[in-house]
Amino acid sequence: MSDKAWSGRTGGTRRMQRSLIRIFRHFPPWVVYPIVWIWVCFYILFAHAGRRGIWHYWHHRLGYGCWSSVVNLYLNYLEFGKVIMDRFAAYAGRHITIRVEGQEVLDRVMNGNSGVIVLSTHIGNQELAGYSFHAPKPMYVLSYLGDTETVNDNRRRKFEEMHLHIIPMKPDGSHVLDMHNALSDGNILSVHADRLFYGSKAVYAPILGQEAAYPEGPFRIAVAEAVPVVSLFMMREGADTYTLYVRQLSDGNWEGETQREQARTLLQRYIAANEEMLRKYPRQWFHFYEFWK
Amino acid sequence: MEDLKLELKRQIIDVLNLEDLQPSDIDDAAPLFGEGLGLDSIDALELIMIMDKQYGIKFQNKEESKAALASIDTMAAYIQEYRTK
Repeated sequence: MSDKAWSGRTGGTRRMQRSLIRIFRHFPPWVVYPIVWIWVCFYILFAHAGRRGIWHYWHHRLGYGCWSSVVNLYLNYLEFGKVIMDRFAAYAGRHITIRVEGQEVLDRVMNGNSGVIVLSTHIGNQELAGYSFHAPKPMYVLSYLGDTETVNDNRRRKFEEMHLHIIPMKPDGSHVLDMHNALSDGNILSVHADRLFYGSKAVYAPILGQEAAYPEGPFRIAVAEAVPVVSLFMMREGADTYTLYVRQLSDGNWEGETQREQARTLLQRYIAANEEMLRKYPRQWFHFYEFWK
Repeated sequence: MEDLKLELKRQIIDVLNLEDLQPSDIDDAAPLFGEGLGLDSIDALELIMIMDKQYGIKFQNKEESKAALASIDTMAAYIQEYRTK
């Protein structure tokens, strides 16, 4: 995997993205699925880097045969297309049905007095998790604002509706002050922990049997702040239907190891939770680039 | 003031796990970030936490925190003026 900074943007022109939001104000997302089936074919044909990454995932990491990997590569992209459509449906205000597995863990951690870190991931529909999760206290989201104008505008509007606060990621790392202040005031902080931004320092650990790079920051911050850590996985079950899985990775009490070792332990727990979800929902792996070294 | 600077250096070495360094190796005026000690943004968070937990200083402004955490000299001066613990 590369150590270079991520610069992801949602595909499609501004007009296309706005049209989708207008359509979903009146119709369910499945009405555009036939277009998604065709769009995905073109995307696979022309998005070489993403195609290679997903092929590696299915063929080398999950061990599928050639034909089976080709079919699953298409279905993986298709699932991503549907997840993107659901995101625009959420922007349009459509209702999504969500079953929660681990509600008691969520209630216990979120209702405590201390701050909480949510280590998020590019598995499932993470953005929808933020919109549908009614936090009992203010939630701050460390966000990469390099996406398209339409997506960023709607993301901001949706965040305001849900009382979510954006902490913009800065190349000079000055966002760490806002992160600390959010946590020390007892709030929730959500951070992506599986993608490198702005050349952030990488740590390596195996996932699905081969080493990959993870940003060191989220794990070191979680350990240094000594707050409970959870991962939330919003996994797509079908049209308008999701299951939210809650996994507690730490209660914030660390003993007996150096902070770097503790951060390493936290990373391993995070990866184990990721692998558990991938075993259940292998087609919801949404890293469209060479993730492994 | 000198005692405070020594205390700060010991805390930085301890929290950032800089086992190869002695307090005397850290120049009071040298920048902590970049070409000086070479600390990064996550290390900055550890310094922000030292200021918060040990001295009761909570920064609200990024520019102010950047200036205060520039070197041991600036940290000590800021603590002396604004500490609540």
